[in-house]
Amino acid sequence: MKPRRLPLLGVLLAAAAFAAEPLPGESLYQLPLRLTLQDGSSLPLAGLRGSPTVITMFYASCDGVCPAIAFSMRRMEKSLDAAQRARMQWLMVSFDPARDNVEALRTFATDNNLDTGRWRLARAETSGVRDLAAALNIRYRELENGVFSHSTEIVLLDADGVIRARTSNLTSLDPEFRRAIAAQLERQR
Amino acid sequence: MIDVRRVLTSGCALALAALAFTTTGAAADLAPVPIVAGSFESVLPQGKGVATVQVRAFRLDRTPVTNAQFLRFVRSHPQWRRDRIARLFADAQYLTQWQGAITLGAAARAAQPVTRVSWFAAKAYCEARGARLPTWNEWEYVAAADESVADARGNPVWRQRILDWYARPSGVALSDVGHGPPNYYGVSDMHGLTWEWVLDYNALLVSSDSREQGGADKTKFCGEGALSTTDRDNYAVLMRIAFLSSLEAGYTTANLGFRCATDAP
Repeated sequence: MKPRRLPLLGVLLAAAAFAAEPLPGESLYQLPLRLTLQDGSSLPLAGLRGSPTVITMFYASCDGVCPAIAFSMRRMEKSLDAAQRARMQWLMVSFDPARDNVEALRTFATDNNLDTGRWRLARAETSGVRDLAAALNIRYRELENGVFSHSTEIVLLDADGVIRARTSNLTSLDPEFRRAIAAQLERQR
Repeated sequence: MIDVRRVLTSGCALALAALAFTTTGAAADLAPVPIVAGSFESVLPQGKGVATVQVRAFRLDRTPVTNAQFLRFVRSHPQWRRDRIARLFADAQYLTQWQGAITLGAAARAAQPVTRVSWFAAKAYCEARGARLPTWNEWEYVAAADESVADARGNPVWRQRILDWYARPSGVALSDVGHGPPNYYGVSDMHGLTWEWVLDYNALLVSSDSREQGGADKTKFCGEGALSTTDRDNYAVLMRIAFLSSLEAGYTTANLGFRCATDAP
């Protein structure tokens, strides 16, 4: 009886060891940030640990470059095969917590044909948004007229939340970034 | 005639305020100074058709945060000790001018401004105090004042004084905070002591990227806020913007400190 239980115990111990492994010091999951997602649910940023994630920042009322960012990320997603797609996470976090409520996030997802099974659109309180932008080195400023001026950066995090690649290429699939995604998925297997 | 009288009056008021300040002692040093609401022309463009920035009433620390003040914070928030901080939040030079993780030592005087602090650490310090970092607009608004007027930016003598500070070699030990005369608002050391973090340091967009707009990187910025001013009169302020824009949130330097602000009650 006992020997048969051991393998299961081993698996459990291995899983516990993985969860207990301390985060790398440079991991974005060190940020004490809590996201509110498009379905109204709540998720700590560190809850993304375990799979690689492509992350960017945007705001829903931006009608120029923000849909282009979403389109560019979808192009990356489409370039993956089904097995790879199932293991990737896609996250867009709003700069604009004052206007981007859960409904605005949902509308942005619908308007841009984002599959909310795999994509997360999120808001967070202002201080946390600043921390996240700073950690991602994304530059943004709300102008007097309510428009946000911001840099467009799409960032790849590994399964532990460490930045592995970044691109601001919105016009075509960035081959280097695409290779970095594949490398992270390979590493995870 | 009227102008002269106004200058004299404000000069007297200032002398009185300075006297009151010295006699009330150290506790008063910590009380942030009320800054009245107002509007001004920022060096940073604010978007199409917007010329002036509105600054709401707020409070700003009289001086930059000192080594002694930051040491107290680190002792009560040990995750910000230099030997415990996560690398995400500060580079390897963080607080290295201190002798130990919780001792200043001989090379860091208690009343010197704390430097080699990252944006994350500065922000956490202010938040622990129930305060925040000032925004760039708030900082620029208060920094426009000299000792007697709220907006001295048109005064060539004052401008030259700031530029002279920039021209001085760094590497000399920093003076204690409050060494400069308080400005129109009663705030010291906005110029002439250290660079200072602002809350939206990463919002100023004066990188080479924004200067390349119109080229292949046209899509790099969404919005109208890219800095395109060539206002030579504001050279000193532009240098500050250029410096802040070159930073990342974990960076620390020997001349970069901060002070805190709060909303008006």
